[in-house]
Amino acid sequence: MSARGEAEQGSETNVTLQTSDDEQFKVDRDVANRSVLIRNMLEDVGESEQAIPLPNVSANVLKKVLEWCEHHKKDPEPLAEDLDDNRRKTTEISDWDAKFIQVDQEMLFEIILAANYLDIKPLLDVGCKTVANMIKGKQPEEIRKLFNIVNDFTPEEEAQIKKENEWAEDR
Amino acid sequence: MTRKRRNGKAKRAPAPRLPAELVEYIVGFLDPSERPRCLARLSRVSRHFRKTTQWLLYERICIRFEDVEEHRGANWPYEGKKREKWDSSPLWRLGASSVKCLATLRDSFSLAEMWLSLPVRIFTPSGHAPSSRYHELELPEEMPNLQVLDWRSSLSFDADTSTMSDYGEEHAARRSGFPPAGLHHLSLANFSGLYSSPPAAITHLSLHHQLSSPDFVQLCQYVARSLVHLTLDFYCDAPLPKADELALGPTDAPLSSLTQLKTMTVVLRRYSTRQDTPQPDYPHGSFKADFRRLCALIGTLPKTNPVVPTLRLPPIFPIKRRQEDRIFWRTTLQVWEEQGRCSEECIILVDLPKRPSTESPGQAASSAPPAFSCDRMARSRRQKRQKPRLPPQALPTELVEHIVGYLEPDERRCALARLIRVSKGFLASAQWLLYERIQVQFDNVEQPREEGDRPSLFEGSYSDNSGWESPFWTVTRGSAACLGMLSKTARLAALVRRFEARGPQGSWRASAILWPTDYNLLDRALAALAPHIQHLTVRVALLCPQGRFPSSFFYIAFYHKLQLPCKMPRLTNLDWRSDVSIGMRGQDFSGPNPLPFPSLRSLALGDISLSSSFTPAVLIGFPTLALTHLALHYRLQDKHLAGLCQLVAPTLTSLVLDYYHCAPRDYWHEKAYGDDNLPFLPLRRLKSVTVVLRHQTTELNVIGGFVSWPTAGEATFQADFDHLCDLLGTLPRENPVVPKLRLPPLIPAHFRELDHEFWTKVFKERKKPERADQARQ
Repeated sequence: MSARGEAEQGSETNVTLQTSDDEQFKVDRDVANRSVLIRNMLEDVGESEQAIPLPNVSANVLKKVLEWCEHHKKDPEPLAEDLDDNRRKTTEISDWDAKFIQVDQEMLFEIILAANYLDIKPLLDVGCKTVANMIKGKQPEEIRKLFNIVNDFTPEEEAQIKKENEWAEDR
Repeated sequence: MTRKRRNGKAKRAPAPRLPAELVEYIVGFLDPSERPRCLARLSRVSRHFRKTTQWLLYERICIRFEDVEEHRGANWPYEGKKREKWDSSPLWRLGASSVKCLATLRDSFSLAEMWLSLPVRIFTPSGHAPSSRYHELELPEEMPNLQVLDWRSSLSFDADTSTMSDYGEEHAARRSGFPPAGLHHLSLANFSGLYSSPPAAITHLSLHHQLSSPDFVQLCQYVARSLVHLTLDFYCDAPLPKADELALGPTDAPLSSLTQLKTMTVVLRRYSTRQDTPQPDYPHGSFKADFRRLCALIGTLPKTNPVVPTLRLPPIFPIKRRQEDRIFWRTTLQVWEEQGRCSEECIILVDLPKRPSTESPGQAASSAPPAFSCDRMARSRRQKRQKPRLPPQALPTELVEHIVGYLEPDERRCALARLIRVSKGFLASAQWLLYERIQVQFDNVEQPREEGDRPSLFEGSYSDNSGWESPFWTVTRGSAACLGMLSKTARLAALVRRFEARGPQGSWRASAILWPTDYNLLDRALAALAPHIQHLTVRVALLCPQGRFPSSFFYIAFYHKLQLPCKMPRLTNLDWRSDVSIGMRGQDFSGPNPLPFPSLRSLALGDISLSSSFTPAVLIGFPTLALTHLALHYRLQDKHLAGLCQLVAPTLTSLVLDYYHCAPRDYWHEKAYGDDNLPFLPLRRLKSVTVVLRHQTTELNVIGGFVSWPTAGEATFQADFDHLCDLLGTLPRENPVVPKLRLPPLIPAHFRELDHEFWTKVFKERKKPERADQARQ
């Protein structure tokens, strides 16, 4: 194959993504297609060499997201029944994903928000499962400490709320 | 390319339409004074525009006052006073547009409703209100949803002076019940007084006026428990507190009580650098003295939780000098620091950390203040950025729902209850998620609680023959507490949209008995929830406080149990899979009153048994039923199915036949459908039909790794399938619907593929040409 042919093939299979801090990432189309948002944009725009702007994702976050997409690029598309929110969910995470998501809290939230924005449901699931595991069984004070939240309730308010919802904590 | 008309003129392309969604963005560019007029006009453009613009127009009500210049009379309140003291007239009146606006709000109930449910910001013309004028702050008490209050007029809380002479009248200055419970953001100017109100939950406080030190201390103590963001925006000419006033004891230091403070911003609005010189220069007046006082004030911040205050300077004009202005201040502070004229607190003002955050408070107090340099400033900012800074509140609510959705139901409930108590940011979303769906759980009761209860419950013909489950149920302790709370607290009851009552461990029973106390508890809670429930799921077979059944008990029970759901104004989905027996024991079918079900669109029924004398006429109890979705979880006899279909035919678009019971024996003896017995023929609006053969579960051979016919065998399946195809063959031909056949998921999940292959092969072999359009997987 000629050099030109290779270049043409490369332009067809590669997609350029531009982050909020103006960094550009050239990735394989299969990798980019893990994002429903990007896939739809590519379908709408057609073949174009212009970078796809992702104004809500910064470079360091996109790098992590692409790392996940690269590893899962051959995964089958989730079935419609798997996308059903009513199905029984579990907090089990695969080994690779568990290692991947071992990031600081800020990055974890950034990944969740990016997965939500880019519409990558399996990655969103991984992030949300991680947060779900973090809050599981924790007392309010522990959750505040974990997420650095200020208690803005007055003692009276907190006591009333605790009384109202005691039934839910009673297991 | 343009296309020409016959008369030779080019056809114009349709003019682009202004998207209503962008109105807010577009109108935002207008001058504030022009916005209302523009919005008012846009609201007349179309219904779509009206929906958007009306919200924008009334979201923020700005009442404008005008000076009353021409007022001459005996009651002139400021006779003899020096009017030249004020920039404007001491008397104001409402502007004409404001009067119209208020009149509209008063006259239009719908607008008033909208207004009352929104945060309102209240402005007065300027901060130059006469200090002797006290305002009655009536509005907040009438605004339960008030969250943001920007009150820059004269204000006094709980002042001991109950009367003030003003306009020749006495105005009470006493306030009670302020601030409102929901107030989070408070912006104040020109106020004074004592603060003896109950603690509030104010997280954002902006002060636009200098206070005397005692007042300032009291105000800080008042909001100390909850205050997170403090802004001191001093634009008035009042002097800063004196150093000796600030250097009070540790308990009196103004900012020492603000232990929860995270950010503090100081705006030195009156200290603009001099613009009459080629380069920025020190402001006029007493800048240096005031600046030292400000440093002393900041020095009273609590040492245990160091906050990095941000110093903001007013923008100068022209804009090109802003950079020079910034350089001037940095250089000035740097020089002062080198000369030892700048204290530790002064360094804080330019974004340097007060002390390394890793040190303990004791160590920090003894450590030397960090040296000042621009590099350190930049490094400090980088460090600030690297800190985890995104609180969970920044996660959208739908993600919080998504996150807790991964937890087991019990864990989920518990986690939500604890999240509610974390902070107000979580309260709204977590409380909604906790109460939006209420599941009442039951436990089996092996023995009656008291011996005396047994005869009253058991007397009669009722006998339990289920064998392995107790005929008695009791509401679990948690559910009982929940039901009690919901029946007592209307605020929480208003959050409930889905109500589910299921048997112990999700089991299904033909019948069970509840204790009278539990029954009454459930009844009271349902009555409280009735106006709000949209989805009602009842899997409790029989909620009955008494054991003696009347002759027409089943029908009466069914009819009476539906009395409450049928009047629920919002009920759209009813899943009633309890024991619904109609026409048993020869009773009269006609109910005393029809069951209205004003909003019901989706109905799921299970365990329906009808007598042989049943006719569609019994369904007169549902004269206004307008179902779009019907799910049957019990295999009806065809003639009964025909009656039901006839009832719902005008509106039904979706039908689910989810047969989890085995087919009755008489099905095999029924003849093919004739012209007078076509159950699905009336369903001309039908768009989807789904059939679930729930009892046709394949046998799984785990060792061999294959699946085979269900236990009942191939013959039973074939008879069942043939009957199903005949039934689906009665669907109307003019608007053909392709039925979907679903098989129950096989457990474990990794055998699903084998199951799917098995059934695909079976259907391919059994597919007959004439049924090709009737049953497709």
